[in-house]
Amino acid sequence: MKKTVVKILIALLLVATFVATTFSYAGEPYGGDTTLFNEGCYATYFDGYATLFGYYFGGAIEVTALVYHESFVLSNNAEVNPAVSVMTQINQYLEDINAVANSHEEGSDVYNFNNANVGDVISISDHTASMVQTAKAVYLATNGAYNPAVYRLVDLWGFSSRTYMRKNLGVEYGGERYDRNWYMNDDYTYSYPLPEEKYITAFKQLCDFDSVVLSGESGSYTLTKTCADVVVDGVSYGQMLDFGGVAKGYACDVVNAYLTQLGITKGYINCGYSSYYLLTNATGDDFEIRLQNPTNLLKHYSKIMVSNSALSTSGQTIRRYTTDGVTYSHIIDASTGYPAQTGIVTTNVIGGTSAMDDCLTTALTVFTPQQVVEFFNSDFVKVNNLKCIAVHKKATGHKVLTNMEQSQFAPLEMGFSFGTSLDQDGNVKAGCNLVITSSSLGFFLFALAGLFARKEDLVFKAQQSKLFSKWDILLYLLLIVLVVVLFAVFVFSPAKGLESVKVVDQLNGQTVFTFDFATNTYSISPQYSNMVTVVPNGDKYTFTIERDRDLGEVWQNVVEISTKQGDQYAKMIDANCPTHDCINLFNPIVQNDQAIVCSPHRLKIVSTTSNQGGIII
Amino acid sequence: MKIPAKRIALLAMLCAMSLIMFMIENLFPAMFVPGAKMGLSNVFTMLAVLWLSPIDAIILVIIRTTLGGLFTNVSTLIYSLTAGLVSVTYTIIIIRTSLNKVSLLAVSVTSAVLHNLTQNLVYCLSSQTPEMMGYMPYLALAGILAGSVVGLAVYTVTKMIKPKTILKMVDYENSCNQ
Repeated sequence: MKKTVVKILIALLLVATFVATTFSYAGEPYGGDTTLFNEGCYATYFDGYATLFGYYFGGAIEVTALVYHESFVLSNNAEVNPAVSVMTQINQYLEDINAVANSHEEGSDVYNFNNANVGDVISISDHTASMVQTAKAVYLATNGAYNPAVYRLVDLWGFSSRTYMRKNLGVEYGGERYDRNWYMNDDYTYSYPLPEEKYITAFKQLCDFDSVVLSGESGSYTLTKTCADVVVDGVSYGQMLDFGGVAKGYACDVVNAYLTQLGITKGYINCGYSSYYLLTNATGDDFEIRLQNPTNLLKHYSKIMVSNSALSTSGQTIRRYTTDGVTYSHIIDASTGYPAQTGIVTTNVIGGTSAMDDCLTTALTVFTPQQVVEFFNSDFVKVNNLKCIAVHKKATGHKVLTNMEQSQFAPLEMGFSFGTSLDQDGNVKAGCNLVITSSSLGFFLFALAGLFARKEDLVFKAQQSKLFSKWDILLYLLLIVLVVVLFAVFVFSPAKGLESVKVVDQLNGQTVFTFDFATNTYSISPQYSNMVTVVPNGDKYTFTIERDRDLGEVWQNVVEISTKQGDQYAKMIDANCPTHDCINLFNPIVQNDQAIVCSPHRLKIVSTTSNQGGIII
Repeated sequence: MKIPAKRIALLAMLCAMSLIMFMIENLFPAMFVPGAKMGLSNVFTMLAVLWLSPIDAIILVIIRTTLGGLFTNVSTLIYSLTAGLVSVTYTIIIIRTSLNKVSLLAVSVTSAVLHNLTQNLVYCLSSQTPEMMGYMPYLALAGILAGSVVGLAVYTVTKMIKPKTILKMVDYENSCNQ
């Protein structure tokens, strides 16, 4: 009976705890409140900040935004939380830009242009006009290295979203006659057969961005298609634009302008992890930007601090495939019609507008390292106050080409060095070979990393090593010289007389006794008088030194001193130490500046000149 | 940083063997010159430099000299520790920059000479016995002899053990793939 009552009580207690816990957490869900926009895009609200996450631009581009403001609260109710309207507006801007710039979006400005006939005039939105203006400015400044009219070649080489969808989803998506089939290699990577030369030659003619004419004014912009179509094998191909290289950056600019207008100073927006606009972080400080290692995407070679600035990045590390042993990446050089292979593997541009940076990072990848350095010194970079970084991959390591101060780079990894330096006027010079270090801490970190690094080839080299190598001669010669010099100084120097010897207790540094060979007299220090017994034996003296140690141990040393003319010496003849080094190994003292040491008993015999000189070290 | 357990085990094994060698050698009297020993424990120091990282070799030297000193004679600790660190630093630098431009034998010989001279110099300075400098030339000769023996031992060991065996032990990637 009692047991049943206890069981019921315990059960009630558990239920009560459960209910109480549930209610206490009911008011504050863990993840914050959310607003769901369209599929895969949502905003989440917290106290003090709000985030946006979603896949935009046809689901291809991952966008994240983080906005801090003290008025933001944890609620998705627009009446109490101003963040709701802010995030909704950011989402709206992204939708708007997608609606005009996505070449796959039917009815978008770019779609209309790409499907227009030669001579057609298309009215476009202000957003599109702004992107075209930026693109034209960079197209001019980079001599066509950035070219949005390169889309036909991008599609031909298999880097468009369309061809990627064909690979990933296995569906025919707007099939063109030049499409080839992806095939899988033995190592499960995909390769795309190379295009036919006739298409490359033909499509190069479509890359004339100058022929795209922008006219009109705000609210009534128009684009005119004037580039003639090309015909290959009876099929006509028209010029196509792709704003993939500018739209992401432009979206960041628009969001930044909106946030700035609201007076928001903390947060950032990221489009596709290639375009950013960075305000300041939660504490109002710089963001720490880690620069990715182009060879190992999980590592970072350096970090820089950035705030209140646009930031864009581009590289050969994504959207690429290897066919017949050659790796092709998604950035096409319109002048050759081939994917850019200049050795520039990753680029960053900081400053200016995000749209401009987005175009410039593409252009820098097309440039050769030499052209990159020339571009750094161009007026365009100086007027817009741009900071650029381009990593040139060489067999010997990665060279960082930059117009930034080298001290702004904090090292995170070895193998990266600067390929450029700044002169006093701020001009960039090629031909620098400084390892990336920003401070003494940097050097320290490098030294530390070196200490822990294992060199794999040493294991192999050690096995292959021979008993003699070429440079051994140098080491052995040095050794011979050293030995000869040492012998000359210490052994073959002219003999010196023996004036006096001194026995020193090294435990306290005090002299036990001294013996003077000039007068054949000795003097025992007072504190050792009861420890030393002297037995004269003709012209020899035997000094027995017995020092009491702990636990009844007695350290005994017997020193023999001979005063016989022509055979003066001092030596240890007995000791109760375990090694007997002092008896067996040390030569007898026959001249000045010699020593006998009994190291277990911490006792030494030294011969000194009467003025206590000895060798001065 | 991921350091595989096998690599630490290898270091521990080298430390133990080095220490045992140090202790055994200590049972025998010095050879010809006061303070001069074969230094056979340095075989394992060199192997650590070749197979592991610099820090591993330095740790090995510190452990061997301190523990060896504690087990035998603490008063010699300062000389053997300083000399050990100097010679292992020299070995690390020369092996990592120019192995096979110079042979292991030459590295071992020069390193042993450096060890002996450093040890004697530190002794002279710390015990204020400048008279011991007179033994420098003999110590250099003893170093050449000891270094040759150590160098030949290292040469033999590296010839006998396949690199793959070592890499299996010390390399994270390889040990994962096995």
